[in-house]
Amino acid sequence: MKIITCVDKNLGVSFNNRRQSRDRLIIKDIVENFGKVFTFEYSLPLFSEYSDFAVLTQDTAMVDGYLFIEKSTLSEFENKISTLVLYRFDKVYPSDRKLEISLENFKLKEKIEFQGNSHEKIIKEIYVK
Amino acid sequence: MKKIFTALTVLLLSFSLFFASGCEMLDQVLTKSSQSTSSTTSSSQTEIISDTAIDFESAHHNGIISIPDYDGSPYFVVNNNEPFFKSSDKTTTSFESFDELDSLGRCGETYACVGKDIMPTEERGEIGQVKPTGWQTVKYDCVSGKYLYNRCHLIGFQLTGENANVKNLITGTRYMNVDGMLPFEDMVADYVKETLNHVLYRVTPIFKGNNLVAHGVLMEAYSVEDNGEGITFNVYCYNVQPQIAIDYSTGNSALISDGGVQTSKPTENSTVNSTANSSQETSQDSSIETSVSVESSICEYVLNKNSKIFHLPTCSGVSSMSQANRQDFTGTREEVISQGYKACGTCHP
Repeated sequence: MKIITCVDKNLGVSFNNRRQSRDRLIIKDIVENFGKVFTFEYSLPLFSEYSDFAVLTQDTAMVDGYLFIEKSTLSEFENKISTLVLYRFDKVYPSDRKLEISLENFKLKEKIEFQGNSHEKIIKEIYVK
Repeated sequence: MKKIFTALTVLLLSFSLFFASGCEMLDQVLTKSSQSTSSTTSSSQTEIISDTAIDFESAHHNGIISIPDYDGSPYFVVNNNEPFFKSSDKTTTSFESFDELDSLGRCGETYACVGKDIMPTEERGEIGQVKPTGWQTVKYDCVSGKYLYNRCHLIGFQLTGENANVKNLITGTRYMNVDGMLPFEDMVADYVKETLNHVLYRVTPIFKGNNLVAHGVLMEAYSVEDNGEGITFNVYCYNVQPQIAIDYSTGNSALISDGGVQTSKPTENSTVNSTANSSQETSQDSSIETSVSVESSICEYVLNKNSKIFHLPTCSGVSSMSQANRQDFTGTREEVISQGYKACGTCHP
């Protein structure tokens, strides 16, 4: 299973059942590097400029490729994840839900930084098992 | 006096005050500045959000908003994160307004509709000339950046560009400023910059009686164009500093040791070294009047055994630290350094 998600400096994923932040250049980067991705209804509007590259899904079992998911601790997927793409906002936002998987179980394959549309720095990390 | 909200809900109030011997529940009513008026630069009220609105000021006088003792979290969620804006507050016209200072010189409610058009386009200027009520320049080793108090913007500079506005600056602890308020301010600022939407945003300092230092601030926010889908919160940030006891009536402070509160008082004209980070939402006086430096104070630190970096327990680097590498330590800064550790560049322990 290949998962793409966003976190802040504290590995937070959401606050008050809302994403902590968003940046259109993350979406652009996803489309350019991973092509078509599966995602849920909550995240689908983020791909409005790239509607051909986002596939709405309601069942992760049906995902055949990368899954872009927000607000998830990923704990339910931990043993299934083969590739994890993290987009880290270089900020601390409030969070009441954090990533609950151990990155120590993965190997960091790639790490790059880029400037976002509304964020001075975004760090992309690709982990593999 | 401007009344922004009408009371629809009666709430009870019990608040805790943290000073001297530690935490103590006080069943007393906190009062907001009681003789304030407001000035508004521009406003527009166009649509309905909902019909639920709460007069927070009246709630304090008449009822209860039950804020528990500070328990290690820099903020407490109020009203299930639903802000107290009333229906007619919704607008897509940016504005900001500030209550007049009260008879004690304290700030009151600050209110804005944050839009990209009123966000700052220049770096923040000097604010050291402002002396909010209760202001003291005091240093402790266990405070990130050393200085206990910041001139704390109620509406953060990054939101509306308010610089040295005396109606927008209170005496706030470093902890409240950085760990409590800043994450919410950044979340709102980045949302507005990304979406170009507007966010109703209100920060209300809460003072107990005639105290000169606020017990905390209520922060409310609601994104307008998407009906709160992007931003909705209502939180109370505690104006506390771990390991430091504060007398909110004066701003005096003291280090809490394992055996209780050390009775050291701020020392007149004592030497202050200039290690604080002036880029933060704080600044030091050009002429420091009162300070205390507790160079050998016993503090709690978190050591990273792998990187040999030590942090304050509240540092963002701690939460992402591997448990295998983590070691909690209580002692002096000098003891940590003597063990070969270097100070974290983020929290500046």
